Amino acid sequence: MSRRLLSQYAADQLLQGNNDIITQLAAYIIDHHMQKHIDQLVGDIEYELAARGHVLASVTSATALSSELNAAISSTIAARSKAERVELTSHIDAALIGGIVIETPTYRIDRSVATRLKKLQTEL
Amino acid sequence: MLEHLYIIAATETGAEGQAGLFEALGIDAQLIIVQVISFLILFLLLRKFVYPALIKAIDDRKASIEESARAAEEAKSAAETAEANTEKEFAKAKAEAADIVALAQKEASAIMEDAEKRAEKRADHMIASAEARLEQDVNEAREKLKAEMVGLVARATEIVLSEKVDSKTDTALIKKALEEVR
Repeated sequence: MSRRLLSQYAADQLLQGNNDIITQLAAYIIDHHMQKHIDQLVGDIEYELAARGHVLASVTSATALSSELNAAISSTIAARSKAERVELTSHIDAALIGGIVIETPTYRIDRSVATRLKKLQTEL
Repeated sequence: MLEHLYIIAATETGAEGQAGLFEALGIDAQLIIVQVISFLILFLLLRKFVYPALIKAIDDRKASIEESARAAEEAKSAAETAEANTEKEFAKAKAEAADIVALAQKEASAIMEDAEKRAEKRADHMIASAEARLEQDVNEAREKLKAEMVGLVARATEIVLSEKVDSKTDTALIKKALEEVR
């Protein structure tokens, strides 16, 4: 089975609530010696989920975000990705100084102060 | 033999009785006859034995002299020709030597000129290269200084912002970012 078909099948099963697919998928990966492709496979599954209206997004900020901001971020991602459901995973990175970095399977938005400073430095 | 001829002649003359006329004229007829005969005999002998050899010797000598003269003439002519040829060759060699000297001078002049041009070109190239290198070094130093300055400014800004960006400011920044990407 190709990686694409595998990720499509896993995405469908996850959306149907079949969480056992994770265990089955792990067994399949070990059985077929696909351990080195596991990151790509996870990325493919996230992409397939996003294509089906379920976006898994990672948000990184310098400080912890309030629930209000998390909701606003989810709303923004849902509007931009035309997604029905958005799942956020938050990360804290003080090196960003301020702002946020949003990563989804299909795009990456970097509005951090650190990146702006770096761009400014490059332009100068 | 000649004495016998004189006796015979004297006998003959007395017999014919003509001695008185020749004697009156003071001419010894017998003697004349004997002399004529002697002359003829001598002439015949000379003609027979001496003249041919003499004439041959003279002819040979004449031919030898003529041959020598001709040879001398030829030698003179050859000498003149050789001298003329020598003069001609000398003039030709002189002209060729002059041409060679002129060509050598021309080539030497061309070589000198070429060497001067090359030296001048090389000097220009070295000067241009040095100037370019200097300019490059200056530009590199300038860029390096600029990068260091920008780095310092960025670092200073980063430090200042780290202190200045509080939760409120950060929230405002995030909201603004969300509005931009929506």
